[in-house]
Parts: sequence; C-alpha cells; structure tokens
Amino acid sequence: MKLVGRIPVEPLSDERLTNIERRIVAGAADALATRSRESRWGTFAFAAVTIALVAGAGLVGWKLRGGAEPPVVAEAPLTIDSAASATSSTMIDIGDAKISSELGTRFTVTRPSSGVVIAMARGKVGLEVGKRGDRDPLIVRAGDTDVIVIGTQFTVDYDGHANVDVRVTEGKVKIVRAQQSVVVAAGQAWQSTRGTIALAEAGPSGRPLATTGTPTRTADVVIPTEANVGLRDRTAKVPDARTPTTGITGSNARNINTAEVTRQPVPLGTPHAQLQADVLTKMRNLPIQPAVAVGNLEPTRSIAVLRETSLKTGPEASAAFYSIAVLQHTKLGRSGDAIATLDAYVRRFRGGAEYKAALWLRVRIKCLQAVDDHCRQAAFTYAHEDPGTRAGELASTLSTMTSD
Amino acid sequence: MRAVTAVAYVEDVMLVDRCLTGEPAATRELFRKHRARVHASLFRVLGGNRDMDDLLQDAFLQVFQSLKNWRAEASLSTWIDRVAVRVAYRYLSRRGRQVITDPMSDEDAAIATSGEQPGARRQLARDGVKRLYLALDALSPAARLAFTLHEIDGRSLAEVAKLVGSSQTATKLRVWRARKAVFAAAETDPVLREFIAPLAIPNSGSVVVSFDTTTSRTDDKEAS
Repeated sequence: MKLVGRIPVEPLSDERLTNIERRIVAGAADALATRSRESRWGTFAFAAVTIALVAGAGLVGWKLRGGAEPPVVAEAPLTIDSAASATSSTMIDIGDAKISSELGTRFTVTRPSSGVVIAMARGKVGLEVGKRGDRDPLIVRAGDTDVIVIGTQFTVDYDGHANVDVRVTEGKVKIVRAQQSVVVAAGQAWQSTRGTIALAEAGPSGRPLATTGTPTRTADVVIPTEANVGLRDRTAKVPDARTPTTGITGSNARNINTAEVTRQPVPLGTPHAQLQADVLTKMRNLPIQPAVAVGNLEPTRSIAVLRETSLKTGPEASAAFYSIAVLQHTKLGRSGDAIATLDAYVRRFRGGAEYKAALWLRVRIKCLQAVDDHCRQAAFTYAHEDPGTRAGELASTLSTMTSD
Repeated sequence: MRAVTAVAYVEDVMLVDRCLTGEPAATRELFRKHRARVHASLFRVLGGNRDMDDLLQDAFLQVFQSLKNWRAEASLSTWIDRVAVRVAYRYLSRRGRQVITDPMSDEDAAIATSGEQPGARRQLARDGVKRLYLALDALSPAARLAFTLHEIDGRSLAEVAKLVGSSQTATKLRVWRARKAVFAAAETDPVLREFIAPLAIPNSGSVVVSFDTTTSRTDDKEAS
C-alpha cells in the first residue's frame, strides 16, 4: 500500500499519556466496582435486610431500656449504612481512612477489590486518607460527582440533590463529574456550581466539621471488606450515640488521640496555603477573553469557524488560534485541549499579538490545577516575558512557591 | 514462532485475569502495552484531532468494561483493535463525518515529516495529509474505516473485514469506492494529487486498474 508510512502519527506527550492512564486506571476501577455491585446484588440485599433487622432490634432494646438514642451503626456483612442521628456526629476508622460525618449524614461504604467507595446520600463527611500506593482509589460518590482520593484530608458536603462542596486542606483529590475531571489541591475548594476556587473564596462552611477526634464511647462494627466475601477482615469503632458528643472526649481502641477535640470550622490551612489561595484568587479575577468576538455562537461552532482562520498566517490566525484555546478552557472546560492548543500557539506564533496572553492562559490553567512544577515552569516563563505587570508579579510569586 | 505466540497468549490471559481482579498495576500494564498501536490506528483513521485523548481513553475504558467478555479465542490485540475501531466508527457517525483537525497536527506533522524532507517537500507532505483527510471527511464512516485501515494503517482486507465485522467482499468494495472518491477529489486539488502521486493515475479508468492490481497482490499474499 503506497500510503502506508506516509501519514506520520502525531505522538502524544508523556504528560497527556500520563493523564489518560490515570483516568483509565480510575475508570477501570469504577467499572469493576459497578460490576461487583451488580454481581453481588443478592448478597447486598441480604445485607440490607440484616442491617434493618439488627437496627430494628437495637431500637426495640433501646425503647425497653429507656435509653437516649439508638445506635447509629449496626453490624453488617457487606456494607455499612451509617446515618448520623439528629444530635450526634460519628467517627469511623476503616483502616485506610478515617471518616467523620456530620449531623443527618447518610452514606454507604463498600470495598470493591482493594478500593473503597463511600456513596453519600446526603450530608457532610470529613476524611483523612493515607497514601493509597498501588491500591485501588478511595472514591467518595456524591450524586453524579466522584471525588477520587490521592491521599489527603478534605470534606465533602452534599445536599442530596445536585450541590456538592469539596474543600481540601491537605494533599489533593480528583473530582470527576459528567466525564470531566479536575484536580483540587490543598487550599482549594470545588463547588458544583462554581468549579474550582480558592478555599478562602468558598465562604464559611455551612456545617463545621471536626475531621479528627476521639469519640466518647465506641461500639464495634464490622466494616465490609473482602473478608466478608472470603478475604480479610477489619474492625472499626463508631461512637455510641447515646452519649452526647458535642465536646468529644474519651478513648478509642483504634483512634489513639487523647486530646479533647471540639467542633471546629474547616481550617484554611497554613499561612503558605493561605498566600497561595490569595494568589490564585487574584489570578482568577484577571479576566480572560477571546481575541476574536465570537458572538452568541455555540463554543464548538465558534471553534470550527476560528479553526478555518487559524490555518492561515498572520495576526488574524494568531488571534483565532488564541481564541480557540480560550473557548476550550472557559466554555468547554477542556483544559488539556486548551494547553495543547496554547503549546502549538507558542511554537507557531512566537512574538505574536496574543503571545503574552497565551503564556498567561497557560499559567492560569496549570496553576489552578495544582501549584506544581508545571505551574512554576509556566509562571517562570511568563514572569520573564511580561515583567512589571500585575499578571507578571503574580506569575513571579507563583514561580517561587513550594509544592502543595 | 509458535512458542512465542503461545507465550504471548498465556501472558495475555494472565494479564487479563489480573485486570479482572482490579489490580491497578495490571490495568496500567495492559494500557502501556497496547496504547501505541491503538493510538496509531485511531490517528490514521481519524487524522490528528483534538478529541484524540478522549478517544484513546474511551477505547480503553470500553476495553476494561468488556474485558470479562474476552473469550481468548481471538488474540487480545485484535480484540482491543476491534473495540477501538468501534469507538472510531461511533465518533465518525456522531460527528456527521466531519472531524475537526487539531491545530497542533500541522506542527507535529511537520516535526514528524522532517528528517530528510526539506522545506517545500515537507510543506507539501503536511498539506497533502490535510487535504487527504478533508477528502476522507466526505466518505461514509464505514468506507472511511475500510480505506484508512487498509491503505494507511496497512492491514490486509481480511483483517479489516474482521475488525469492522463485515465480509471481505463488502470491505473490498468500500475500499474501492473510497479510493475512487479520493482520486476524484485529487483531480481538482493539485496538492492532494501531488501527495498521492505514487498512486495517482491521470484518469479514473486507470485508477480502477491500479486498485485491482493492488488488491490482487494483497489477496495473493493472504492466500499464501
């Protein structure tokens, strides 16, 4: 065949391949989790019935004894369905994560393979998660939003409908919704209505939550693990809700933390994190506009039109090329594509009218994802291209910031 | 040769088993092992376009979602290619045959075609690729798949027929029609004509002769 070997394959950069690989590994784990849920439906139904029976027995016992409140969690062979009672909070240690939940929170913990899926029905949970290493990810599922944990401390607030509020105080998490993903790092928050924002910008937490603490009294529960399906077992402690827990004191067999912990608002992090959040907020406030007016056209149509122009040469093409990147980022939320377009722009239109703006947009996209080497590198380049301006100063600050 | 195939087969089976137990390292291994080939095939079918990352991701996610259905009757790579071809077909059908070329592709095509091709020839190759894919946009998804897998990706007609799930005769016909359409486009496009010069024949009658010769050779190879 004469055309074989005549069409060169555009190689994918290591960064793009790594991103794709991460998404695939997470997606594959999710697919497996879904299958496990489907295939174990019968067992799950049995577990649910058992939970209901044990909870019912507990309630009857409590009524007979005249106690204050029923226990919040009962023994379950596969899953724990923990609904915090009206007057208390819970702290559960599942071995590879500590989960604290606020008033009226309801969530289910399952263990597909070596991963953990915390499916929230409503309410607010705080998590401390150790590094996962090669284990499957820990996923907090709030409606159609998945928060994939990379090893961190964060809270997820879910109203049971469409609003999800994630605040990260340590490490980073990946949030997947509607096939789009975004990494939220320490000092940042993500809201389903606003996207990624600085933690300081997110406003006060509706329901402050202590993410660490020691419950007053504990009750043993079996956390669902592979042991329940023939592999290994774990025991966790949850507070006995019959004792008021506003000021949490006491000891816990697994959570060795004797300090008295009272409910605190979600911390904003260290001064460094605060400074970082401020810089990112200022960066976000600098407007980004396409260089070409696109009117009310749909973004994809606008890009199709601009693409025709971008294939030419000269200032018109430069403006069109840059505008494509702006639309990809701001309208379509496809930051990876926007970065690729900007990289191509920088190669093709060095010194063009939108050259500095393109460099700045690169800084904005990369640094809002994470203040890492990519961010610092982009910021350093921009700071040297455009010194003395407000954006240049922000980039200069970002280029010297340490990692999250 | 046989021993190598058997080893590869056993390795594939073991790798799939590990993937099915949810081992992330196995997922990564399978992706790394097959990503270059799947990406190259998708690229040759669709040309460089901005959705390539998503398409590669979709293809592999579908692979992992359906991995339990792999019966080990076909080789794993063929099975994965079939999934990738389905992803490409759906993409072409959804896009109404129009593939928006990635603005990066020109640059990367230039880089990739550098080497011994200087200046004008490199530009010609770059423009030629672009014009070829514009011509392919006018084809039906099935014809485009058959043409690109056979003529650009270098697969035999029998292999293409298996991948697209149709008969060899139907595949051959699709390739023939696609070639005819490409040559028709080349008649009014000097850049495309120049690019496909090794294939180009001054009138459409000769094109048919050229195609027949080519396919006969392929079929002879397959028969042997």
